[in-house]
Amino acid sequence: MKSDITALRELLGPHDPAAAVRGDPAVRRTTLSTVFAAFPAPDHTPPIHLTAVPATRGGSRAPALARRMLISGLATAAAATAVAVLSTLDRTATAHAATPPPLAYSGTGTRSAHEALLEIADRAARLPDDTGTGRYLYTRTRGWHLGSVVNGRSVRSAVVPVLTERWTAQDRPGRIRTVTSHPEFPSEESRAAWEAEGRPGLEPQVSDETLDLPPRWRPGDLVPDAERLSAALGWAGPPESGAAELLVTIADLYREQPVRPAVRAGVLRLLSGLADLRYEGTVVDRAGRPGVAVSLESDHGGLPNRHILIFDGRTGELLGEERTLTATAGELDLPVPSIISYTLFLDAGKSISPTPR
Amino acid sequence: MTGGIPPAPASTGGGQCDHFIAMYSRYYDEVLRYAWRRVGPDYAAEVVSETFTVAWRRAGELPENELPWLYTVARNIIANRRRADERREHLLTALAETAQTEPDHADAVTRRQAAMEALQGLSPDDRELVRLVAWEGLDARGAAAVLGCSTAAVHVRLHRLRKRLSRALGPPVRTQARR
Repeated sequence: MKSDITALRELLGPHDPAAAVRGDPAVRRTTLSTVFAAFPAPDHTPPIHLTAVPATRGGSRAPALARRMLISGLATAAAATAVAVLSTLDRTATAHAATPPPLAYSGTGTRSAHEALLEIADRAARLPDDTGTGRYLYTRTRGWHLGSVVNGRSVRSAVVPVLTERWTAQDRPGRIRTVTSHPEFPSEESRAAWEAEGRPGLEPQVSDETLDLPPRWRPGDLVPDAERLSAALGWAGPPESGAAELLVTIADLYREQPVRPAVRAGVLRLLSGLADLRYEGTVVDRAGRPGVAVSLESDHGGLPNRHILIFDGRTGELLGEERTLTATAGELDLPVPSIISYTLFLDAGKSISPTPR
Repeated sequence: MTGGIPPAPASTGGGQCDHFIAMYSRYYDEVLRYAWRRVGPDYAAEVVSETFTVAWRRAGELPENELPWLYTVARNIIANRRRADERREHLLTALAETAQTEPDHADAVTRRQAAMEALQGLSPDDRELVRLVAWEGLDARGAAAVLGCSTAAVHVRLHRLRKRLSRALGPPVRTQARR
């Protein structure tokens, strides 16, 4: 005997007035732009306080921030709540969330970050522009963050990094393509948990979308002079802008576009001016590349954390960004310290078309 | 918000943005059809835009089963819009006239009209439940999540609605199955 649902589908299915309806591609793109323009970053009101769904467009929010969130994926506004929102993770899980192992730094604290960065800046400033030509700004990154979602399900039992390619242009739509990587297991416990969840062979999940928003920064506006560069980046310096926001901004810049050597030098000089920046030493990053790391400790994001930037000592390019919980995990069920996110900056350059390099 | 959908594991930063875009890509058409069936073609796109705006605001709280959650948001948005209420009486008839899912021969038109009238004769909650399972393709659990009631209650209501609609509409039409 057929189920009630099957019977109702047979009765009414043929009369569905919208069965053949498909969204117009242009409207889809415009709607996505509208959504991001309405709110620069998610609002992390605790779900327990969510009693009504407002149908509002929040017109007072800044579109620039929305654009930044869309392109960079790690806006200051989001970063400010990034750690706090992690406390909404499923606390019913019995095991700690799987997190990547920390990197091994050598020579920590043996010199000043200021001195190390200026040395790299001088080297970068002498290099020719190697960003290429083309109307599209292309970047390829590989990243992971605590709270990843794959196939609509949160992933706590394994580390599943995501490869992201972005193409943006001032005068035409861009593109963002993401592919999930193979799961990584930091421990046998995590592998067992993954298998218990029934996820042994995770197929790569591909998302490919059009972006109708231009880059946040025009490359021509970015100049080597530290003061003018600071203005162009929109970082006003303390007290108006927090020191931690400069590190976020630099990572956003590299996430969005290739940075020519002269501007890399300017970025490094700007960064070298932060008083509390610490020299972390040399390191081999998660892609096997040698680099020089600096860090800043702050509670930017809600909980005490260390934000590390890793630069190529020869070219001044940003190679990686890592965030580590330091003093307390708050409501997170994590040991301290634990890595909570990382990004590897793998490739960048101008491109004549929104296709892989 | 209606429904007991639990808070979701959160995501952050670039991954959160990428995940939202993927979800938008995956479910845009589904949410559009949901809205189209309830407010008609003229206002469906507005409902979709508002629904995903709310979803983006709540990106840190999206549940594992996202589609019923999106339907819940869209349902609340529609319910909150007075002008949608003002149009409601004429909507089902208008939808019946504009539907182009099968050849427009007289018998099909008559059956469609009968189906729309049968739906219109249901209470708002029953009508929503029937549409959720017959047109949105949700199972009892998903429909319960949207309606904010138990799965058991949904099963009881579905059984009653099946009998009522079978009586009103007779044997089902043998046409191409829904998507």
